[in-house]
Amino acid sequence: MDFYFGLAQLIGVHTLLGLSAYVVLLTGQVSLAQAGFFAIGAYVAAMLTVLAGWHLVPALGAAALTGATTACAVGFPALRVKGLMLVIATLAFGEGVRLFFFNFDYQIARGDVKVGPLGGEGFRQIRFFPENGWTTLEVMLFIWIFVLLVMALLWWLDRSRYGAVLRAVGEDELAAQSAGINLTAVKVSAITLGGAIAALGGGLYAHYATHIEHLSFGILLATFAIAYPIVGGLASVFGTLAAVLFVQGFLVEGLRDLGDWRNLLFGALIVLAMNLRPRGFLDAGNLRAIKRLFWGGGRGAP
Amino acid sequence: MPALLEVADLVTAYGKIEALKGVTLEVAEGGITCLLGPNGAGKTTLMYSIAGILKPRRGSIRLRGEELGGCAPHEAVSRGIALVPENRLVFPSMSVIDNLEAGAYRRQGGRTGRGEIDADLQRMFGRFPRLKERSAQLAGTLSGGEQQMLAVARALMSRPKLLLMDEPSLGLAPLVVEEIFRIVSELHRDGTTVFLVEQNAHMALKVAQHFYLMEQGRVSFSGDPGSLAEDEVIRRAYLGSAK
Amino acid sequence: MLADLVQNTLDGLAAGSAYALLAVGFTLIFGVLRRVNLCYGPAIMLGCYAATFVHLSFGAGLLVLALVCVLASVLAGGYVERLCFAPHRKGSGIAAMVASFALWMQLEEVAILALPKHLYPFPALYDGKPIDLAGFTIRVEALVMLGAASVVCAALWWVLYRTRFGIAARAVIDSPLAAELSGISVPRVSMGVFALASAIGGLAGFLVSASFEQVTPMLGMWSTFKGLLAMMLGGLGSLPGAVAGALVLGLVEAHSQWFLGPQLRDLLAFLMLFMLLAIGPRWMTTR
Repeated sequence: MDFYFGLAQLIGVHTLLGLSAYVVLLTGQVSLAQAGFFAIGAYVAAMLTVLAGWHLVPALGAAALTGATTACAVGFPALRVKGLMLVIATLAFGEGVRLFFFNFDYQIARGDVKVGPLGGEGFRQIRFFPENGWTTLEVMLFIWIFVLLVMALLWWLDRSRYGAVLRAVGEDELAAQSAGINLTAVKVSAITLGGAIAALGGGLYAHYATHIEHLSFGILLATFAIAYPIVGGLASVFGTLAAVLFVQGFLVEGLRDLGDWRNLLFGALIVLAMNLRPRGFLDAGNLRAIKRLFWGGGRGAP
Repeated sequence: MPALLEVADLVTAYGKIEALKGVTLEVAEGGITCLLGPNGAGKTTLMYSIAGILKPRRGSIRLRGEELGGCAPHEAVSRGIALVPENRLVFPSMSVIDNLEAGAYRRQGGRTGRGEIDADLQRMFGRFPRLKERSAQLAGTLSGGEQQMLAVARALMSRPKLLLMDEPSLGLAPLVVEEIFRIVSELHRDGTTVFLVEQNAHMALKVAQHFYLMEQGRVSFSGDPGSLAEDEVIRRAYLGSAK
Repeated sequence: MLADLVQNTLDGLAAGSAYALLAVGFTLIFGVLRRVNLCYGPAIMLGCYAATFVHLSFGAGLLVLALVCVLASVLAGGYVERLCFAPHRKGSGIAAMVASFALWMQLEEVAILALPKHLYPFPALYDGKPIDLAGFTIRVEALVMLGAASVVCAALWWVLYRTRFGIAARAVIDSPLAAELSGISVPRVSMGVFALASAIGGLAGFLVSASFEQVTPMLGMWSTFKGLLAMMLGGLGSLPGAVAGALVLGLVEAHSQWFLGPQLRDLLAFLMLFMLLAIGPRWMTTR
């Protein structure tokens, strides 16, 4: 059973990561910086619990705050550029963060062992959960509380005026601007929110993994982050969840029996998905169809 | 005169919106035919459909009886259609002479082919002396009128049977517009068939032997330049018929 | 001190010339697709793995390996173009990017399946001793790299400015619509340019592998990053710019490695790129 709890932990954390990219993507911005914010959250939360002896919950709050602050600080200059340039600027930022942690040493002695991040060796012994005797099930539930909270928050935001503004910017910047929307403010707020969510996910990841190192936060993770909302579609937060389940649940774990051939099939399936549904699994059209299925009624039928 | 180009019941759509709703018209061999109409009538869509840039949904496009509909743009050029697109569209970071070479891309190389292409280059330089002066200059640095001439010359380099011109006078100074129309008349005198889309109805009616009016994706009038009072043509070409 | 500076400068130019080849290939692909092909490096890596495989199985010599590298890179590049870019030519750039990442993982997996050890030796470009010239030691590999890059750049210039294919390629890069109207088959010419860029990348991969005398699966990411950095430093989309950006990147890396060490060197390169994009001059980011 622990295996499935562990898988659920991973899916929960990746859902947070995907949602952080989803928020930014709503405004039409492709950010490859999410893995960087995720890494910042992981290191900050872990340093607070391990080195400063904080409880995990305030440590996660501090991590999310750091992620948000960094994202806001990065967002202002980075959002000067658009499209492809933004992809590359955020990629450069993300790799910069990774290389920063690759060079980052800050160890203190605790008893007879030294703890803390140690450059390329990574940060070992993040033992908040085992020290406090949490079971895998409890850890999984703890993670999913955050996932559900964030999903509920975004679901609610999507229905608010703010969500409409985000989508308006994503659909047509010029039109949004002429409707009196401050583009910079909207984009920076979206990337700030995304930074907070990614850092929260990173903080949770650091504690269930108990060992983090810079290699985990590379371009691959950044791609996963942006791939979830793209594969899942931007019509709803559930698209991202569906994509994480599809990728981590089915493609990564379900195909594990295939051994080495898994990644070959994995690549082929993603390419196939993108060629068949370039707008993702859940677009506005089939979302309406699903709603009709569940709620009956002809809501949104032409 | 026999028809060089016959378009029959042509429908072209962008998604669900039909921009052409069954267009039928003919372009006579060796003549200048003009297409007038307000913005959004579907004139450029028709040009792009004939040139193969847009795939028609229905209907036929025949060049000397041969069906063209649905062929790729480079095939359309091989079959003898050249479009001088709206807003000129030269290759801005290529030299004038390379722009002309690109126009001759589909023609056979080899020694005789090369000789013919060089002869045509000289002919273009004879017709457009300004281009000769600037043959090594980048096309993006030319003036609007010079770019328009380059675009026409580039299209002629493919030795087209039918030259399509989409609003060649758009955004040009009156003197330059006159020069463009003088060139159109010269091309006609040399035997080139021209199908011209224009907003400048006054100038277009002076050079054309036949014209069509297009409104909301359909041909609404067809006749000789004398068959409808010019101010009526102009009114309908700019505003569409009152509804 | 002076000797070190000269030595570093030469090393930087040598590395920069390999980067120049990568950046030129990247720029060509960007030119015809208006997309960044992040799978460019992994395709090159697969080419180098194919060469390593041939070397281990048949003990082939350097020239054969270079040829295998180029051919296999072209094949892998064509595979990427067909699956990631041809279906999205007019559609979503994001979908093409995600698809190219998926293929990246696939190509790495193919390499690892074929040759499962982490690191394989690659025959050296030059076995002999470095040349001693007026007190400076000059690595012959560096000279070979510089020479090869110069020859390739000159040949590329000739192809682009002196051949019919070159006219078509530049026309497609300049304005795809006008190129179509001039009778140039844009998909076909794009594929040709893609193949040319992959061949240049394959050669760059060969030179890099032979001068490091090893191949690892990391070569894919390495090539993508170095090529991308150099291309961006030179202002996106310009071939001379890409070469200049590559040489600057090589020099900055060589000197910063000397002063700061290899780890901070990479950090500095990314910081430089981010700063340039975020607060750099406008002309760098338009297009």
